[in-house]
Amino acid sequence: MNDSLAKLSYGILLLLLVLVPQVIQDQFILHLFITIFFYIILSASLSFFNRTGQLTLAQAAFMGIGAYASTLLCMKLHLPFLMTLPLSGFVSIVIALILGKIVLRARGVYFVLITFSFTEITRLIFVNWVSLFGGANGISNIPAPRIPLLFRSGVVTVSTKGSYYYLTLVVLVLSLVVLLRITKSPMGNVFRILRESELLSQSLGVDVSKYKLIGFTIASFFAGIVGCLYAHYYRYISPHAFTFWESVYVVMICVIGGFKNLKGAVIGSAVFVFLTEAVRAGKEYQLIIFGVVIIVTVIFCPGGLEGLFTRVGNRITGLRKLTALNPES
Amino acid sequence: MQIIFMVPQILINGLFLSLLYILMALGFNMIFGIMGVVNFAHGEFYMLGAFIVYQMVKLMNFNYLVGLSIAVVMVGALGMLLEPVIFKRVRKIEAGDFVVSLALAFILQSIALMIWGPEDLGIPSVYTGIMRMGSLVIPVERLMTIAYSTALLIGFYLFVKFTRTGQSMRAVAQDAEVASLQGIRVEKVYVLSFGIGCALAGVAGALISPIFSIFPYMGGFALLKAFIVVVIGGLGSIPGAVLGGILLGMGESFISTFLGGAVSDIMSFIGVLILLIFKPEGLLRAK
Amino acid sequence: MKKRDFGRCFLIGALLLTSIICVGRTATAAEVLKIGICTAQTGPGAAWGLAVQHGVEMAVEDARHEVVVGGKTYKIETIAYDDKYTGKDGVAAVNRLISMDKVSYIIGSNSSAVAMATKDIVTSNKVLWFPGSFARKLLSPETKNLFRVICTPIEYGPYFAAYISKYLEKAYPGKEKTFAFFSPNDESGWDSEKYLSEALEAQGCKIMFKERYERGVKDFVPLLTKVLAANPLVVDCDGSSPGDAGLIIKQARQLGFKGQINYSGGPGFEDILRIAGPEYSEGMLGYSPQNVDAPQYLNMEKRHQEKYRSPMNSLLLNYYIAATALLEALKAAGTVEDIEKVRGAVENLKLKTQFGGLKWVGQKDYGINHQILLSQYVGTIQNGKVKIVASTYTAE
Repeated sequence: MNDSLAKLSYGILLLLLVLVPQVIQDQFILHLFITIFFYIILSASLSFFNRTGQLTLAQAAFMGIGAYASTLLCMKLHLPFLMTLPLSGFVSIVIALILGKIVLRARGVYFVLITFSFTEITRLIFVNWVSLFGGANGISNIPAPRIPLLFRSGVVTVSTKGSYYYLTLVVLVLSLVVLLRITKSPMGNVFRILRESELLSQSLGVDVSKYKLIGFTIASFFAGIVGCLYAHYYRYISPHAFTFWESVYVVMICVIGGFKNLKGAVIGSAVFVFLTEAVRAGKEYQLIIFGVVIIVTVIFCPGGLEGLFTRVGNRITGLRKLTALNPES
Repeated sequence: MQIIFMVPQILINGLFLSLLYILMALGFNMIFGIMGVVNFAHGEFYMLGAFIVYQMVKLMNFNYLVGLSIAVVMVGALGMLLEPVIFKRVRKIEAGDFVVSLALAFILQSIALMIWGPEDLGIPSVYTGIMRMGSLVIPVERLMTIAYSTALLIGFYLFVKFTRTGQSMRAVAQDAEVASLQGIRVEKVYVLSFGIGCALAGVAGALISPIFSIFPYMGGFALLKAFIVVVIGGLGSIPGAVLGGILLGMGESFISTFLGGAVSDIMSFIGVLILLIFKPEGLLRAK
Repeated sequence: MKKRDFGRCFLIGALLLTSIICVGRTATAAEVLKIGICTAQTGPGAAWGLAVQHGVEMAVEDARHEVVVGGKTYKIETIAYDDKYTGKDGVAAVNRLISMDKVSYIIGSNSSAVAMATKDIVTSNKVLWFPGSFARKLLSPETKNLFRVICTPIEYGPYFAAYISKYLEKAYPGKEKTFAFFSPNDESGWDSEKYLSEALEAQGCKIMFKERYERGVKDFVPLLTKVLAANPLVVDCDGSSPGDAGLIIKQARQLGFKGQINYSGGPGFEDILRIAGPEYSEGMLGYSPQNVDAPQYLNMEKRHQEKYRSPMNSLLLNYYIAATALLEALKAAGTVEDIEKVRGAVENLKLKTQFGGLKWVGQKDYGINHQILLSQYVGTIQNGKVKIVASTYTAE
């Protein structure tokens, strides 16, 4: 009963999202939505990896890897967008596998610091390998994606904010569906046990390091995908965009939204982007307000905002149930 | 040929950098070792230490050493205030310390920006004069910083090793539950440790303030170096922080002088990564 | 349980609401001219970023917050958003200015990352843009609505190099003109290094060292140890920030360097004096796009200190002049809506402020005359005071 209600509300939400660019022409608002979509994919995949009990600060590095990969494949080898998109994810997977195999032995904060070092090294490589990556100046004039139409001949160039909104929404929905599928699969069960206790999982015969690697690779894959989308949206990339601070923001989103489920990623991303914009004109005061709100949110909503929203939502639907059961009121 | 003559100078340059990095990393390392907290605002306590000295010395005409002492006390007190108010409450939350300390960093940076503005500021050198020994050149102020830092490190080591408080801190770092069973007031140790950790960052900032420039975003540099030192030396280990600081400082000095600045930066990270492949938990992991 | 949840919800909602109100916009009246400012208000780029904002604000203040265009009096409203010196935030800021606030005139940003990231958006909308980024690719015949309002090393390099070369020949006769450059390892550092060294080499100078360091490094002693062993005649802080230049100067002198120290990367004498101290900075030579000796400049400094309680960054004058130029162009064009007309007015502007004139150049280097050229000076520090020693170019 509750399940179909949930599915209905998600369906309605999706429908509303699809309608947004038809109703809202304001480029700035569309830009905000696209930014939120990027962050949702980044934080949902981070949250998924977090089930193994680890945190990674390498999301920004893989975003950069995906961005530069897609840009170079597109501009040097003239590959179409529909190929460079999965390829950026694939390149990220390869690098994540190599890196993960080496460093996933480390625990806890060590692992976090290692991923931080990796992000810094990646950034320094982007800056100093000028011939390939353009150095500190980056690469500009990245072409917009050209996507062949399904039912007619011809190609649509995704260069307006409205069209990019739809592109990103499609990728977002696909990513979330994939993540949900994995969560509900037998492998997902393993992840759930891992979150409870690594010791328990080991005693059950689970190869913990294998699943950590899988989780890490999945998170990096999606970060690479976002990197590709980022490159063709901003159409200019430079190493500045992929510092470890970006990774830290993704962690922040997961904390304020909640690590428990995908809802947390959605709420966290929306709140983060909204808050950043709300204070943008505030000069020196903006980050004080931003910081205070974050601290208050974390202290008063320890499981993340998604818990709060769920409870409030339940109470609203619960009330309706109550009145339905009681014919007298 | 000239290179051989440069080596003593490079060593002295490296020594200065090493002590600087050790001081920056020590507080961060301590807070993590004892409380398991990653303090992203660590650099901001360093920055506040420098600014308080600036305020005292430049604007209120205090003596430098007096200003330094006041800065250390104030920064430590701020740390001791923030621990129960903020950090204690997020102890059980996944990555809570991370996010909350980051938000705190934003707040402190903005407050500094509001009070002192964005421009680079400076304090006139406290110790002028330059010491020369053959081809070796050391500005006296750097020599004094080396001396103060060394004294501070020795004092800190003695404190941790021989005082009751120091021993309680070590006990809590080893195992908090067991320590509380032994009658140690763990909460008090946490507050004190956080305060001392922040004070150490503040001291680093205060010592460096007459030598380098002061601005609201100087903390990021200290945080970055603290991270690297801690990764090399091992989290929670004081000898590790010392070793890490020396490796980083000497490494940078040699590589910068011979191969240039850009190479030095990337090499320190690659060195870190290679080290981690063989010893993921740092060279001298505590325990 | 329930009460706590509602309490939390309320608290967070209240905080969010407050943050919006704090920085919200009031409804604007009809006859308002909005000038958008995209700049770094926080972050390490804030020193220059706030110079952009303050420069525009002071110019608007001098115009008494209003301008008479085409017979109508418009109230001037400046809307500034933080771009944090990153492309991502710059795009958000510029989008907001154009879409939500509907501005047609944007001044800033100073950052190359922001300018390159926002270039497409701004040029595809009907907006006149006055950025101050050094990025070479910014200007081209396609970007008709863009005017760069600071002089890049391409513009000032040759004048400065010519003066320095002659000075060295006089002050150090017979010595080979060898240089050691110190530049930060990013795009503005690379640009500055490239064009300044080209200009100097054209004058017969030899660049022995091109040292690069990561921004954030404050200890230049390791690099200086290497460089000074070879005894160059000149140490040039090139594209370093003024504060870092001060540190390089101080540390070089402490290590015993007795030669000439230059700062060719841009203005910043006050910062150098503050950080290096009068003794060490004595005799240094630097490029200055303003006459920092003149009483009107000193008045601006005092005014800035009083109004903003922080020392003035010399970059501010570029944006003061840019904002003043915009207002004059609007008056000359007689319209605030017709961007094409205003652009034409900017191109044909004959402006002389209390800080000198300006000229639009750039046909040879960029294919379009939208690069500003201001008067150029060389300054020094003597007896703890900043002094202009030469005027290498005067813009009419």
